[in-house]
Amino acid sequence: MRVHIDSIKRRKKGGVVRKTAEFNGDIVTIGRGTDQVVFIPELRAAYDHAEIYQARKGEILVRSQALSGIKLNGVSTQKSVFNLADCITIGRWEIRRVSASDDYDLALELEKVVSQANSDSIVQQQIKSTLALVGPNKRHWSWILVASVLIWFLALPLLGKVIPGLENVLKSVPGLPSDTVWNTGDLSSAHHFFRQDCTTCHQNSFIRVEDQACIDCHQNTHAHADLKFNEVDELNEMRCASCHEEHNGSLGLVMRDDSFCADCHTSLQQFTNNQTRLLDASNFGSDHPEFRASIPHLENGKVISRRVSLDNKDQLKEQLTIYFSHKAHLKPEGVHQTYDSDRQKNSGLLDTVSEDADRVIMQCADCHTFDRGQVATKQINFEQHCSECHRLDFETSDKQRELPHGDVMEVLYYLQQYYQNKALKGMIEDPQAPLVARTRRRPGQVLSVRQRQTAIAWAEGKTRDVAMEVFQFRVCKTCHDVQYASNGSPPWSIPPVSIPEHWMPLANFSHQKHVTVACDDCHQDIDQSEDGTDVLLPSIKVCRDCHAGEDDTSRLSSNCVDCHGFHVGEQLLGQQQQLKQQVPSVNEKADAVSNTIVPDDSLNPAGLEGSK
Amino acid sequence: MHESFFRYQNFYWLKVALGLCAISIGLYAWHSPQVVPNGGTWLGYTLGTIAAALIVWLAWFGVRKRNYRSSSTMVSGWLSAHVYLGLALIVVATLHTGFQFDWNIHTFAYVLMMVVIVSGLYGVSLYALLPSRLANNRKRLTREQMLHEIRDLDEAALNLADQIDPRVHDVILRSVEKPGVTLTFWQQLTAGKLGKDPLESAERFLKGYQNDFVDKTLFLDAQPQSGAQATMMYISNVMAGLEAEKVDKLRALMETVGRKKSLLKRTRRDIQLKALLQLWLFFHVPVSMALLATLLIHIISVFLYW
Repeated sequence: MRVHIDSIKRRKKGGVVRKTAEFNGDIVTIGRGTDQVVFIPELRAAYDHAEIYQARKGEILVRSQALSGIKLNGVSTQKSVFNLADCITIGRWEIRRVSASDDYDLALELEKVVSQANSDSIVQQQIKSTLALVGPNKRHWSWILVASVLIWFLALPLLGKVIPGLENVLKSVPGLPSDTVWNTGDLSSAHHFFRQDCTTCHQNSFIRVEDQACIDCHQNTHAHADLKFNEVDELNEMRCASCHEEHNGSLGLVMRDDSFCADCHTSLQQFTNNQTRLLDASNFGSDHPEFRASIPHLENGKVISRRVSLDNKDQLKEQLTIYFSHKAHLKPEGVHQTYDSDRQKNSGLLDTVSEDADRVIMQCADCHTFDRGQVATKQINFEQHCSECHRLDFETSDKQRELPHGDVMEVLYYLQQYYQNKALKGMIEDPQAPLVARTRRRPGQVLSVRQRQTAIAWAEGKTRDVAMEVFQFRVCKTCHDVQYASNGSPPWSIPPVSIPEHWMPLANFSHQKHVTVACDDCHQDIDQSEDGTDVLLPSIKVCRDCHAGEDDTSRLSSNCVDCHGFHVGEQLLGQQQQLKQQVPSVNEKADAVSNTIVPDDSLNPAGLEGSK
Repeated sequence: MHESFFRYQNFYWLKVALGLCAISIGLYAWHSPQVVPNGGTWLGYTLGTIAAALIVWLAWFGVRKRNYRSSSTMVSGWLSAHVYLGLALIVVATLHTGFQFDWNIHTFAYVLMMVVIVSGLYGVSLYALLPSRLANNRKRLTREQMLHEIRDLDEAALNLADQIDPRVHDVILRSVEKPGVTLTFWQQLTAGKLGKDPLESAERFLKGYQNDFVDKTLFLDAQPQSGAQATMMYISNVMAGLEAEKVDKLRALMETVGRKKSLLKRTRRDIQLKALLQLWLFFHVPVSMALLATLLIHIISVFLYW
């Protein structure tokens, strides 16, 4: 191997001095020993530190003899291939392989790297040795984390909304993110159906859930009050979600906070331009008016309701009622059964029969029954609640026979037919009756026209007499204020009776929830009432014995919504939405209605008017 | 030592932070939300805005800290505010949540925030503990002084070794070229010696070498018991005259290596303590950035599906 060795020395002022040497041999030895081909006069080199030689295949190798090894291109090694442009460092010396001319197999450059600097740089490096220099780059890690979070929790869910089909994939594969990762909390159970489909409610991005999204399903929900009488800006600005806060789990779908109601209902006149007849209320315990009963009365032949406060004793009278004494019916010793006590016992209606078989002790529930869990009393009706005792008999000789109930004309027809039939059949025991009506008929006997006229004439008279008796003195008159007009057709009339199912239709009261309380705990002194016009509802004071406002701690705290519904307007929400869009200005509308007379029941829910 | 950021201006920022917590807790106790406390009430929005602003401002500290034009007092003030307001964030943000947690991006943001705060607390505790250990370890030397001394010891050791034996030189040279001042991430943290430490093996080699050597010159220091013995010893000592010089050098070399070893240990410890002071930041900073991104998504998603 013919080797060309250049020793290089750089002058301080610039310029390079080269000393050229030539070596012929197999092994280029490197070290501190004077016998070495490449002489490195430094303590950091061993006497025979390393060797450069040619392998059989022709490539040049370098091998360290010293334990400390050599650095090849800055990397410690004991043996390695020595390629062109590689650099061996020993101590402060560098041996570089350069391209050799044709005459040589190998060309080397030897240079002492500028004094001290080499070793100092190690020191300098180690002084600055901090984690920041060798550790992972904080900036890179930050960007990686930021990018991961943005892609996973923002970009992918957003892409799902943009790219058709992707959302289904994201939602069906567990672990993949979709817009449900933005869910702020569990939905109420009624809305669990679309927990995976946020856009059912969130129809427009960056716009709060609009009412129409709710109305899409809740089409039959009523508005709170009708816009035509309640031009309340607060009401118009309210959204469904103002009250119905979702994403709070089972909580919050129905708002119970009294202050929400009280915002308007403490000074409702002001909010409605004096258009309402509702009274102010803000707290059941401390600020709520006395209850008002809706009492039906006749106006222009129609039955309508008027609300009368329970403390207005003068006007608190039922008008469309019957003669009825609670006192008489609730006597502790029981009431007399006028007729057929066996039938009543067997009927099961009156289950408490006193030892004296003629007497029955009556309970409230014998007449007043409730739908299970409902607020309404079942309608009292004659057939179910009265007829067992109050029999509509009219003929002492035929006590099983009873008149139909409910229609004067029906009664008259019934009587007419009964007595005509009887007269034509004969054998009437009444000595006042004509002979033809009293005689027994032989089989096949045919009455003459005259005989029939005589019999029917008697029947007509009898009908009139009996009708007079039952309408004006006995059967009907027991309960009804029967009116007689000699020129009337028919001459008797019975005023309509309307006993309300809902006495306070703007409030929800459940008797079912109060079954542990005796009836007369609330409906006090009922057994002293002798007049059917008495309204026997408990005052608010009675309720307040147990119930108080929402912040009370000594009694049952009761919110507005415990009794009152919100969606009680006549209009449906959807209709009101359309109205809102049609009405350009709330104030204009308010001016237009300010002079109109508002009906008494303008705020009553549908169905109250025209109750029976 | 300058005023610690803990007690900067008589705990000014601690007072501010406690005030913020007290106001937040007071409002939360007084507030009666429509349904349950949550981030969507007016108080929820208010606390959320304050918390988000705090997070951005606290993150800005990372930028502010690098501004070397600001005086150290200012940096100390900023750090004090960073630590105390960062702790106040626990209260403000927790009240913002209304204690509603779920598997969603919002709770994820909260968890990241708590992770950042806890890692920050760890960092603060390091700043309280480590500087005194650093000072004790350095004993008034700087890192540069330690390294220069190591370099000087290296040169002295090579010099001595060269005069003893090429084999000794070879071993010492190896320990010099592979300096053992650790540089990699893991080595910095553990102050550890990975694999065989050349210095340790050099030391072992020297001990072995010395034992061999002293065996040969066993009675150098022994007292002669008789005349014949004294004569024998004299001849041996003359023959071993040159060797005795080597023994001294060997002792000097071993002392040099020993000094280097202890110095190296202190340097490693120095690097380790410094590294520990920085390590938590490799967690604290990237997670803070992730928190900022999550916070952004939290805010966007809340209003996207308003």
